[in-house]
Amino acid sequence: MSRKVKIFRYDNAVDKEGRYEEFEIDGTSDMSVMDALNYIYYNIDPSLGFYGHSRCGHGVCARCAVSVNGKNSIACVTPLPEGEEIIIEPVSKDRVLKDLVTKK
Amino acid sequence: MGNLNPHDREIKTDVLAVGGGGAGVTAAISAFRLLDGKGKVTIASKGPVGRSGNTIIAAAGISMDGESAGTYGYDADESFTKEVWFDEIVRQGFHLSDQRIVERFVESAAPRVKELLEWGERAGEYFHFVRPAGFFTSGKAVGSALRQGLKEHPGIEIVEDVIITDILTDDGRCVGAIGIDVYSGEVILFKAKAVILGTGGFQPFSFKCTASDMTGDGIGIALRAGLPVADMEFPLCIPGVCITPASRRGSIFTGIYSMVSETVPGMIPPKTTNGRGDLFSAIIPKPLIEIAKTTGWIKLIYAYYWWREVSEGRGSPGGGVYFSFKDVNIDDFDKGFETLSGMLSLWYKAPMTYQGEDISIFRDEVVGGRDWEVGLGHEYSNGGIVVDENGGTSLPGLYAAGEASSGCFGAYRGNRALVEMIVQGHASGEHAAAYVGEAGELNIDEGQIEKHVGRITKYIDRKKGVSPASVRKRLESTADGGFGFLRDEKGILKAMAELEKIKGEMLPEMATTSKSRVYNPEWMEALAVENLALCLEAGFAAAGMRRESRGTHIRSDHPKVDNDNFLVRIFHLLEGGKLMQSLEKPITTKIEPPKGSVESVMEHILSCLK
Repeated sequence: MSRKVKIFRYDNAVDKEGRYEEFEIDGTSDMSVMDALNYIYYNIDPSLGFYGHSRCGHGVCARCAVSVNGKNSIACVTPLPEGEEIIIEPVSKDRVLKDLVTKK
Repeated sequence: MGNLNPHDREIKTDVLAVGGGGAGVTAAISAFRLLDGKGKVTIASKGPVGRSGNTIIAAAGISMDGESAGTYGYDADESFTKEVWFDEIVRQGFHLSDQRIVERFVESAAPRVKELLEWGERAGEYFHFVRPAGFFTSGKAVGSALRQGLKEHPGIEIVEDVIITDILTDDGRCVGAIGIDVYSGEVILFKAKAVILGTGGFQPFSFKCTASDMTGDGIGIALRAGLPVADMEFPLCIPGVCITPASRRGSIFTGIYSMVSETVPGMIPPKTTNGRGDLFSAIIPKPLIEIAKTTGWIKLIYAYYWWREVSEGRGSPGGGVYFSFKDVNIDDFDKGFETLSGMLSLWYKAPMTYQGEDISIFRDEVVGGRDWEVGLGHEYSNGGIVVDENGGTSLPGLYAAGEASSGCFGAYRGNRALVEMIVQGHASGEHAAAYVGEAGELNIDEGQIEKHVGRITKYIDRKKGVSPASVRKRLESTADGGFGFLRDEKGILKAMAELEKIKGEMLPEMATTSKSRVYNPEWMEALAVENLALCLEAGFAAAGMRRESRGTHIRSDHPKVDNDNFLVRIFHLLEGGKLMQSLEKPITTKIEPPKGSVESVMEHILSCLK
């Protein structure tokens, strides 16, 4: 099923400030936020920056935390919310390093 | 970056343990203890120490020998002696193990496991004793135990989110390593007298039930440093990994359920069927069903028969089999499911969860009249860096431990990888600590550093090219096609040709879209892809050369286990940029290699238990 996801983007090499990009993804009805980000990375835009270099995949390390519709969530165990509007942002725009990744 | 060095930062240490799982942490602690203040120990981990890698994904089981467990006060079966255990591991490995390594494994398991249990208990984790002499726990608990061990040894330097890409050598010994700080993108020079690679295995398939880190980094490092790796043709699968429900694809819960439900009173076990509904209880010969239920041969037996059904066109739509609950009493099933959920809450605090996932969906499927579709999930690689029983390689100052090494389990692992990592971590940690006492001052050649930094930064520097993400997908599809559970000459040759194409056209053109080094996933992917491609090249070459079946290398065109011609390990070495193979006899100490041939891998299993 098709879902629309809006994601905060920021690359310090090219952007002066953050911007939003919308992606249309094709997924299962209860895919996780991490599944959605992986879908975008492997199928649409491989420049997407999100925590992924060492995933516990099971909500243990909390490193993949992002803000989903304003709520801080652990991406690998949070289902992609229902509804038309899904906005994914870094947990802190002040501390953003790249797209959804913030300083440690 | 505004300085004249090819690297951005420098860390000086004596022993560098690479890896934040059981092997790396145990190695660091054992080295630290032996050095007793006379040297520095550093852990460099790709992710958070004790919260990343395959250690925490394990189901998990650890064991010791029965006699030791008895002396520790457990109600053990003392007939499970070190000798019986040694025999079991060697035969399960189809006689390809380096028996020195297996001897060390059975000798050292007890004190190492006891220490891990003690750390775990002090961290508030639960370990459930199971006869003959083992413990069931969660990977998360093992990670937590390791972190407790680190807490009790303050003074070990820990550097996280660093990917080690290569080691440095000088005058015939290891003198350090190069790494990347994932968050800042800085290149770090590690000056170290000894390096221990506890970097885990390689997972090249698309169907994953493992952590994301399994990219064969240590194996790539060793090959590039001119060291041999072996046994690369033997992957290991967990039968029963979830295919559907699709949102739980890759979860091992279904496999755990099916195993545990056989023994826990009140739980309803599924019936395993092929895609046409034929029962595996009628397909698998009865003696093998019994052996599967009671021994470590379970993974190989189920994988063998399930994959035969799938490859002959009788599998499920997703390429697997079914765990079927047709005709079960739903109330009984529900009660049993509650029992399991209760047990799991000993390790996973949130109710109705397993490894962070809500498992009620599995119950809902059954209540709704649907079966679980399951398959073979690749979980561990037997292959890796060639080491001796101390984790030592042929390069002084370089060691490898755990899944990154080879030689313990031969062609099939029916025993505990969690024990392998702590036994080998400990041995290499102590040997590294003793070695650094004797090792003189280091000399690092700037040219070598520049060469390595150039190799790893070229994907950023290259303006345009092929996305590393797409190369990863191509590698996975190549592995899926020709390196799966049932192999043949045609499939292997096709996979080799595809890999040659990837090597020739895609690898040299990889470039990241973003040119910022700051948290650049494509950059990390490019480095991982280089390592995975090397691992696959070795795996395909060995699978092609091994014209027989042994362990998890099963050839439909050569189904016999040929002990006259193939009781050898296949080693790989990078020479002049080319991967070369050699055949080496496995080192034996107590069990002589058998002669003759056996009709099939299943016949070997039956002959072991006569």
